[in-house]
Amino acid sequence: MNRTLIILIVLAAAGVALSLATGPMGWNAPHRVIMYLRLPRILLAITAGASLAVSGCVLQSVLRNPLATPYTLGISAGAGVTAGFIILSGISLPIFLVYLSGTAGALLASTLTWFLAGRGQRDPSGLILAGVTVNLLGASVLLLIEYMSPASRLVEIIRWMMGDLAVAGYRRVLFLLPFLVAGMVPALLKTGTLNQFLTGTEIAESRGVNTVRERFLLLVAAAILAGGAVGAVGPIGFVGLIVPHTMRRLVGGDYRKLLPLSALGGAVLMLWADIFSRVVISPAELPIGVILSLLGGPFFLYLLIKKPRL
Amino acid sequence: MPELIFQNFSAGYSADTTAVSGVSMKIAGGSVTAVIGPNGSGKSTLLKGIMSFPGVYSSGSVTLDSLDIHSMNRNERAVRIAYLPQSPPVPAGLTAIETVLLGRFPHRSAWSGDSSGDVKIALDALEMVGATHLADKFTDEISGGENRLVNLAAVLSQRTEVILLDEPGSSLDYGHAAQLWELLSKLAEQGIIILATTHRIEMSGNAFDKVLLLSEGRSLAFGEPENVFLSGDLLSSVYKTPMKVRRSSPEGSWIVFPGGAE
Repeated sequence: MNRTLIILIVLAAAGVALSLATGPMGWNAPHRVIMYLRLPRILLAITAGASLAVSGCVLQSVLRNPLATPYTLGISAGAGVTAGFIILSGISLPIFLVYLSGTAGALLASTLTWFLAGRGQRDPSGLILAGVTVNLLGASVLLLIEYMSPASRLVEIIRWMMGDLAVAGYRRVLFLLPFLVAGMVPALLKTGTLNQFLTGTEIAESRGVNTVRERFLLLVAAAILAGGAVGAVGPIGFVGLIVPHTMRRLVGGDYRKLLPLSALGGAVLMLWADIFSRVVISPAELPIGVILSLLGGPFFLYLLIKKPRL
Repeated sequence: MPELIFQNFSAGYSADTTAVSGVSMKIAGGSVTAVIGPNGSGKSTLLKGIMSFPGVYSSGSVTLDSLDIHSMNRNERAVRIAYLPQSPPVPAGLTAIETVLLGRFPHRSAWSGDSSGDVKIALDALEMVGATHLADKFTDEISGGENRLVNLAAVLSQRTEVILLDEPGSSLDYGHAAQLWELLSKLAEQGIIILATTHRIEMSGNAFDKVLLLSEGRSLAFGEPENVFLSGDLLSSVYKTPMKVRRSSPEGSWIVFPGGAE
């Protein structure tokens, strides 16, 4: 674990330094460029990456499914529908409300998933089935919105779905911060409970976990984390799948280590993916979502096939 | 010695139907009780009903030392009663010792680390089930039977007065099954109440002191094994096949001949 922690800290520090220097004129860029364009972008990458990774990490335990991601609750589709609708309608909203619309869609979708999963105990398979249904419904509504959109708006919707970290100032980071705190604190406090969920509902119950209540609280925490991140940077889901998996390979499945290291891992991955997105076709940028899938996909496949362990 | 008393206890998966009903019995500490009966007779539901899991309805009462266990809060219950289901999921990315340490959860706060005392209890538990060599192996890389032993060690590390086991011997080979029942006898000697469902009377040697026989969701008989096994053709009628049961010697293992051939 210590080795992984050190590597992650070094990668984070190097990523921050490199990211600050990436762009026209490198380190010699005007102070304002560094402080108002590059630094907030770094903070956004770190906070969004940590949020998405922890969200996926929590869901993989609570839903006891290694393929669970923030999207499993229908979050991406929900955010896509509300953001798509706002872009299509051409309503001019204050910027905070634009972010909030994505988040609201994400949270509404996860609420819908919760209710569709049935009454009573809501076991993991019921929740996953409901989430898949909500995702399909949302994706269809989004397609309908795209079909009805004029070309210029269509491009805007598609670009939004690819994710975006370009910022001027700290508004997006400030927007994300309360969601980060509200989701991260309960997740960190409940790492012991997350460990118990790994052994199944019955054993967790027999050891004193109120599984119905704790599952609900942890799902809310995961939805808040992912919802906040999706509102701020668009639906980038891959982080929530790949980071907890990688960390589980490196430090094991004990959530008391896994969860904080996934937060750090998510931040590092997003930071580096952002650097790549800015240098590959510099001075233009590639969408962060595309970079993450292109870099992350093969790496993830390697992990699944080779199963390396430290 | 703890005492577990069932009074007209019933359990099921909806408010108006029962999967097992009419269980009345008194089990004292220091004994192993086997719950037997055909598939679907309500053995597992009985244990789930005792644990009052979400989605399981129960009526009647179960008291531990005169305290209704359904009025205990979850944590009070968890430090007194442990439970092992038939086939629990294998936790991803945990070693055997980490899995066993999860059994210490009711004894500490939700996010605290493992104390050296916890680690010692977990290692002792692994030793008791004969699985010390598995301590640092990942549970998703060991066999089903070995995982059974690790799960059993986790239950032991919970250090409770009552242990409920659902088919503890399934997926164990002859050697490990014999060891398991021997271990359960030893635990009972320490005053612990063991209640275990089983399909294989013969695999448990002479480990159990009492037998509860269930059939089609009803409690048919409870008592000394001799009284249940050797009372007329009770087993034959319950299992719907001619059954012969005898002991290898007056104190020896039980031997079962299903189908009637000997």
